[in-house]
Amino acid sequence: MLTPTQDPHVWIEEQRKGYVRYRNSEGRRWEVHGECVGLGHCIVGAVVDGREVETVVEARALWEKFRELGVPDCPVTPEFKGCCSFTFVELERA
Amino acid sequence: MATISKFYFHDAATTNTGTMPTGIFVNSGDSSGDATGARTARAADDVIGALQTSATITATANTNPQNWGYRRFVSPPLAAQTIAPGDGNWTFSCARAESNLNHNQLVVCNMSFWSPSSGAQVGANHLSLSGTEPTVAAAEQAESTTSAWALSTTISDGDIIVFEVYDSFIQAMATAYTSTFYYDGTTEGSTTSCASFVAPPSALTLFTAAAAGIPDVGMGLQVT
Repeated sequence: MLTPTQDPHVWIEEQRKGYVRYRNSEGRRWEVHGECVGLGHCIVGAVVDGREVETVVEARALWEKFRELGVPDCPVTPEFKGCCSFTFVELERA
Repeated sequence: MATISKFYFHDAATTNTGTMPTGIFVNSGDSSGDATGARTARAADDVIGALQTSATITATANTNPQNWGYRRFVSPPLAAQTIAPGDGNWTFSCARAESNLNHNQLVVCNMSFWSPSSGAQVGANHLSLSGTEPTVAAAEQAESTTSAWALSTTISDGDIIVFEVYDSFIQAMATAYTSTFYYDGTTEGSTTSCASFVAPPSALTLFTAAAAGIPDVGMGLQVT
C-alpha cells in the first residue's frame, strides 16, 4: 500500500527508521538511507505560510513544529544537495 | 540603413504599434505559472538600462518538472530579412538567483518571431538559449550562453522578435522555493545592476518607413 506524501506526485512504498523507499507518478523509484535530524538548511528559501524562510534558526523551529504536528513526509530525490547526510539508491522503474 | 546589434531587456512596456503577444508563452515556457506581469510585452532595444529590476517566482512544492515565466520582451520592428543557422551564435546574458540549491534553477530565453500586423507568430521556428544553475544559493550570479538557430526563418517588414524568459526546473525536494531573474540594469554581466540582453551574431536591419519607400508626409512631401 502506498502512503501519500506532501508531494502529490510521490508516494512512500516502505518506510522505517533510517530508510524510505519512494515512487513517483512517472514510475521512478528510489531509496533514501539516513535520517533527517532537522539541520534546516533545506527549508531556508522555502515559502511557508506566505513568507520566505530566511535563516537556519527559523528553519529549525519550523522543522520542530512540523514534527510535532505530524505533517506528511516531504520527499527528497537522489538529486538532493546538502543538509542531512543521505545516501540514495536508484531502483528499477515501476 | 539603421541596424541593431544588441537587445537590452527593459521593464517599460513596448511602444511598438500593432498587436503584441499577450497570451501564454509561445513554447510553454510558463506552463506551470508566471511571475506577476510576466506576459506584458516589454521593450528590448539597444539602449542600456538605468536601474536593475527583477521578476520572482515561487515554485509549486513538488518534484515534478515545472516551467515558470519571468518576463516577455519584444524587439523594435525589423526589416525583411532571413535569420539562418549559418549566421552564427546568438548570445543570452543575464543575472539570476535561487533561494535554495535544491530548486535547480535553469533560466531559459526562448526566441520566436511575431507579426504585429497580423497578431500571430511568424512560422514555428524558435531558439532556446539555456543557462546553468547558480553555484551558490540566495546570491545574484551572472551567466552567458550561446546557440545558433537550427532552421532559417524569413521575416517581413515590421516583424519583431519575441524573447520569453522563464525558469525550467525539477526540484530535489517538494518545497516552495523561489527564484529570480534580473534585468534593466546598467552593466553587462553585473551581479548588482545587470543589463540582461540577447545579442545576434551580427547586426540586424531595423524597419524604417523611409527605407520601405513610404512617403513621410510630415516632411512636406505631397502624396498623389
